[in-house]
Amino acid sequence: MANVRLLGLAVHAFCVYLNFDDTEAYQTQLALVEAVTNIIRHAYDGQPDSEVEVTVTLYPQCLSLQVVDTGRPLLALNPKVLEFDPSDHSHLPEGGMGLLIMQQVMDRVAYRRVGPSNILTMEKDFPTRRPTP
Amino acid sequence: MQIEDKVIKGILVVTPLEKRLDATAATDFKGKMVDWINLGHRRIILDLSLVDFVDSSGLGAIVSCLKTLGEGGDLVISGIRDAVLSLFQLTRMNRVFQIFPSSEAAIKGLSG
Repeated sequence: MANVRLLGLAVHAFCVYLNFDDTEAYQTQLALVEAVTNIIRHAYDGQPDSEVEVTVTLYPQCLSLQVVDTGRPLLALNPKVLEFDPSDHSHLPEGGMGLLIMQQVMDRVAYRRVGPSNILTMEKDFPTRRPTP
Repeated sequence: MQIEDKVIKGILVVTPLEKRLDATAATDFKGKMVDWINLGHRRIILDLSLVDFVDSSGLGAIVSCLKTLGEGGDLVISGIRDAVLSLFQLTRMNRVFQIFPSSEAAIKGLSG
C-alpha cells in the first residue's frame, strides 16, 4: 500500500508540470489513489504482492490514466449514492466513497474487462484557458 | 504518523505533522485520536494546516473519530487547504464538520 503514495506523487508531478491548479492536481492524484487503493483492497483482497499497472498518457486535450490489474472484476462502475443526515453522526459513512470521488473529479471514467485484466481508464480534460506545454 | 497535541482552554488541538492522511496513515491516526478520546477529551480541533493530501480512507478515519466522540463531543477542522477542502465538499462532509480558517478561530468558536 505504501507504493500507492509513490504513484500518487508521480501523477501529482505530472499535473504540476501541466499547470493544473492546486485543486485539480490534488483531485487527479486523489482519483488515482482511490482507484489503486480499491483494487488492492477489493480486487486483490489486500494481498501484499498485488500487481497494478498505471499508464499515464498525455493527449492534446486531456491527461489519461489507465489502471490495469488482474484481480477480481469490478461488479459495477455505478457508485452508491452518498446519502446521509449530516446531524446524525452515528450513521455517517466511513467508506464506499472511492468510486464516487473518481467519477466526480475526472471528466470520463470507463471500465472494461479484457481476458483476465480489469482496465480502468480515467481522463481529465485540460481547461481551454490553459495552453498545453 | 506524528501528531502534535496541546490543550488550550480545555480544548485539545491536534496537528498532524505529516503531509499525507491516506490509507497508509489512517489506522495509526485513528488509534492516536481514539486514545485521546478515551482519556476524556471531548472538544477536539483537528488542525490540517500541514496536510496536503487526504484520501477517502483518511476522511473515513476522521469521521470514525467523530462517531467515537459520540453526541456530547465536538470535533472541528481548522487550517484546511482549499484542495483538501474540496474532498469534504465532494462527499458533503463539509456539512458534518465545522470548519475554521485557523486553530485560533476554532478555539474562539468552541469557547463562545
